[in-house]
Amino acid sequence: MKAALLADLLSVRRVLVQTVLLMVAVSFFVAFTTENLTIVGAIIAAFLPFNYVINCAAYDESNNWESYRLALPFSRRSVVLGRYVGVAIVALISEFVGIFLASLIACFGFVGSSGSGNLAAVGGSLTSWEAFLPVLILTTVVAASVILALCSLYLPLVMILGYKRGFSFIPVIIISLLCVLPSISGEDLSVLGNQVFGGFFDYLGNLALEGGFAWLGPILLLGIGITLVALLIFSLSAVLTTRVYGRREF
Amino acid sequence: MTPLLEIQQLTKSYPGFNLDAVSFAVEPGQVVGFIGSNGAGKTTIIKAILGIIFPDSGTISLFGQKLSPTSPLLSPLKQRIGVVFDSCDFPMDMSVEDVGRIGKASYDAWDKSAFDEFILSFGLERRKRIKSLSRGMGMKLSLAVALSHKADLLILDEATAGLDPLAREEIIDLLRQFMESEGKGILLSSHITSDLEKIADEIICIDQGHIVFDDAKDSICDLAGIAHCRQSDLELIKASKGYDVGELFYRSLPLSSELLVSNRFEFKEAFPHISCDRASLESYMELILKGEIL
Repeated sequence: MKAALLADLLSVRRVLVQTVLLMVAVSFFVAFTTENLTIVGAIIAAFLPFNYVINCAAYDESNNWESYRLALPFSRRSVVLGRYVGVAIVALISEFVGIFLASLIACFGFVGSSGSGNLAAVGGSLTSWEAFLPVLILTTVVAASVILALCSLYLPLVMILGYKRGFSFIPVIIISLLCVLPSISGEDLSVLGNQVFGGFFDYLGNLALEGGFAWLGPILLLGIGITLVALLIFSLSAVLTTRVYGRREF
Repeated sequence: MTPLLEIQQLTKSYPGFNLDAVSFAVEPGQVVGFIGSNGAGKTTIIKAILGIIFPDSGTISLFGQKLSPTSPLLSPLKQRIGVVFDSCDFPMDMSVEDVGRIGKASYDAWDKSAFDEFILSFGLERRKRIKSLSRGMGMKLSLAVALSHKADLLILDEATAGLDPLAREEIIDLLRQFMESEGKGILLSSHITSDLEKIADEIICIDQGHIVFDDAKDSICDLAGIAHCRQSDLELIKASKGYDVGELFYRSLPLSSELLVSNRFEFKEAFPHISCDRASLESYMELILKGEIL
């Protein structure tokens, strides 16, 4: 798996560095035009992992790499796991980069306001670090989790059907899910989501309280819960992709 | 001695194509040349060996180990195989240096100093990206990877295609050096029959999914001949005893006919008035694939 992961990272390294630089510039622009710093973390945490997935898939299909890779001593399983681990690592790094960058801009906001502590200059209504940081972390984590869940859908398609065909299916599937799920259940999507995940979050909340993690506060606990749900979906997707990719011919 | 690669009764069907019970082996110390027209099934067989596609039936054994299509043994056994396809297939944005890193991470027996030596001798710049390499340089890089992990078996699919004669000669020399070590073998698929004449020990010709002939190269290039016959000569040969008519292929030309004979020395003795030249691998293959049976 290490070799497959390294191959992915080396393939997209240049594109990823360019994207990080672009996203830093975009984040500064968005932060100062919308006066909302928490969005910076979300933009970076969402964009980088998805960019990684798209570029890996594109490189797979170019230059016959996906076929030649299997001539090397890579098992099909290691190719899939390397891809999933790579996405998870990039998502984690993106979260840290996003939070760090937003905090850095917030510091500039302090400096810009002559050290008066006016975070509102760039942080919207969140005027203290104690209020700002948990919300920043939550938005970043939620953004990364949503992208991981989306990648859970996209990765099996792209690894089974290939980049072009797999990517073309994504909008169709998302729109179909949005249309079909409520009609099947007879419920609104938010209600449906609450039914599916509500119990899980209650369980995690109780677990946190019993484990003595109440000090993390409700916002961070919610972030952890969302991350765990996303990782669960992501892991199930990895199992599915490993099985199906094992039968793909090139 | 255990064959490095043994294929028995391999079949694979696609719409409009059937690989028909193909069997052959690559023994240690042997270079097997694989020839045939485009779409004959050569790449399909190579892909099946490497687990890139799954055969419908038949068995593939590598280094004495029989493999099922999804065998977990395949990946460790590929440590002992060097593969070169008809182009340099690493991601285009990788550098030559990156390819070395992947080699090191992939192969347990990766020899960095050997790889560096190949890179230097091939004149490849370490920081140059794959997309900016010429075809020849790309092929040399692929070959450097295949030769830098102490492989026992090389599988080359059109590895010399599109290269100039000097570059091809250089690659053939490297393959000769590889074969100097004991117990090594090569499966070399190529359209360039002159390359196979230089290095192969065994020639397998495949057409429309089945093996047409599997002969020692020496029996083709040293023994076989092309007789230049008039119509009356053909009738004389056909009428004479000592030749199995069913095995004689001929091709009609405007003024004469070319007849493939399996032993030109015996033929010259039997028919001294008919000129008979040494058969090249290309003419041998052409007459068998396109010729008519006398």
